[in-house]
Amino acid sequence: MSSRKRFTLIMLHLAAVMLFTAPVLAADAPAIDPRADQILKATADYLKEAKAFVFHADITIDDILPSGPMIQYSGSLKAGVKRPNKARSLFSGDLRNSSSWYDGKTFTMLNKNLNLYAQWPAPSKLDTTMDKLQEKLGVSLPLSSLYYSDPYKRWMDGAFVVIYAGEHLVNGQPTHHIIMIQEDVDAQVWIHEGKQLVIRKVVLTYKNVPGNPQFTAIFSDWDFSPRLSDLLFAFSPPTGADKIEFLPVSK
Amino acid sequence: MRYSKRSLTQSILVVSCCAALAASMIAPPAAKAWTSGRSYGYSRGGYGYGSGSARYMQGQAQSAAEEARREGQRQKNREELEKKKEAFQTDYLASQEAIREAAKAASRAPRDAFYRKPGSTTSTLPGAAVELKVGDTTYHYFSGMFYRQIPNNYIVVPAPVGAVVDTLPEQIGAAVYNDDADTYVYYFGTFFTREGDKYKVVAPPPGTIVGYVPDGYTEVEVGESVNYTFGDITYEPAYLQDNIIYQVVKS
Repeated sequence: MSSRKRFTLIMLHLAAVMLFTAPVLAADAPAIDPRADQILKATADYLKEAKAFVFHADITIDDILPSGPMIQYSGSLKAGVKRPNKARSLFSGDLRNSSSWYDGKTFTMLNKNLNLYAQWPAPSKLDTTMDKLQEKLGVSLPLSSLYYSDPYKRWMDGAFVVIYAGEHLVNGQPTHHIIMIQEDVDAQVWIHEGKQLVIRKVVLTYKNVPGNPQFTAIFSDWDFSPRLSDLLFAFSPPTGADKIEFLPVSK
Repeated sequence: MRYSKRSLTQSILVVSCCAALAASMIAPPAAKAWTSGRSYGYSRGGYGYGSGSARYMQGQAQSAAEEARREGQRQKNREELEKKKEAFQTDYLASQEAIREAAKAASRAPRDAFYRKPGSTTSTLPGAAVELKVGDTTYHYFSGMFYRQIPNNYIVVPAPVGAVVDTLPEQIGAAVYNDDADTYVYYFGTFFTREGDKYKVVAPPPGTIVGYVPDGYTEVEVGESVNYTFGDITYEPAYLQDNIIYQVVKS
């Protein structure tokens, strides 16, 4: 066989290999719209670089009753983060009124209605604390992906399709509408581009749960340079409050 | 002319020290008083310290008068703040008490369920009540509630362990479990297990978890925590994920 023929055969073989493997590779690699990616990165950078930030979110949560119908509950969340290791949240809603404190040493959760609180010796880093809270206690703070030191990484973790859906309105304001498809959840994010890029709305659809319930958060009052005293993150039990334990979900 | 780096530094240091010494000899001794207010700054009279003792004395007198006026204002502000704190504390305690009362009254029981707390009396039993015996004691049962006859009345009592009933209330809650994977039907403090086509009242083993303790419980302080006793069963509240649950500790 001449060297020219051999070269042609090798090239044809390579072409065949690429033809059959390319779709497989494409299916494995996440399909990310570059514009959506750029906006998400820039939005996350504001959160990442802010030494502290606070926001308010009006939240609705769908619940599917055992008999089938859907019921929607509402709540209001105020949250604040002071980097590197402080976080605070207050949630007032139909289902619960609770607050949480993390001061870099201890995580505290208070049920205001029952005046009961529990404390957990937390790691010194916010990221680790959030991970361990989920792993050890099964506690996931609402919208906690915003608290992480790298929110972009959290958002993209598990997303295999990210789409720029267009410029759509939230409360009359034009926003970038981005869709992130994950295995169990479809996330929609609306980001307003003003002086800063800020999240205005998030909708999570739990597509593998019967009835496809949704979690919706409408954001307002973003502040990326608040003055947050350390006292804000230190828990002091309310009068008459009783201390209880967290039951671990894993050893 | 060339200087070594060291000798130049030494020269600057010596000159600086001499200048500082000279300034301290010229300047008035109570320089700190001049730092207390903005009007005593350098902008109007320049540095002015060395321009004459009369001017300095006049300034001192004005400073003292102004300081007295400011102290008076500060005292007034402190008193107002104390009054506000006191008013806030009163409002806060009242609101906390209201929240606790509301929670106790409403949030612990399934809605639209038939429930009478132990100790309630009635002169007539519901028409569908059935008579049953546990040992030598006669009870009347209706929709999850057990009654005993007393002179002229019937009184609601905690469910007697060992009682067997034909029916459960329509609004029974979700089944509850413990670590041994035993399944119970829980209804207002009573644990039922299935026995053939009937239901038997049982004492749950410690560790069994329920979502509420019915109205009529008593609180028992345990150190800085609290337990709830209903009938012969004692429950300890705890956080399971971000929900308050009640774990049987004694039955």
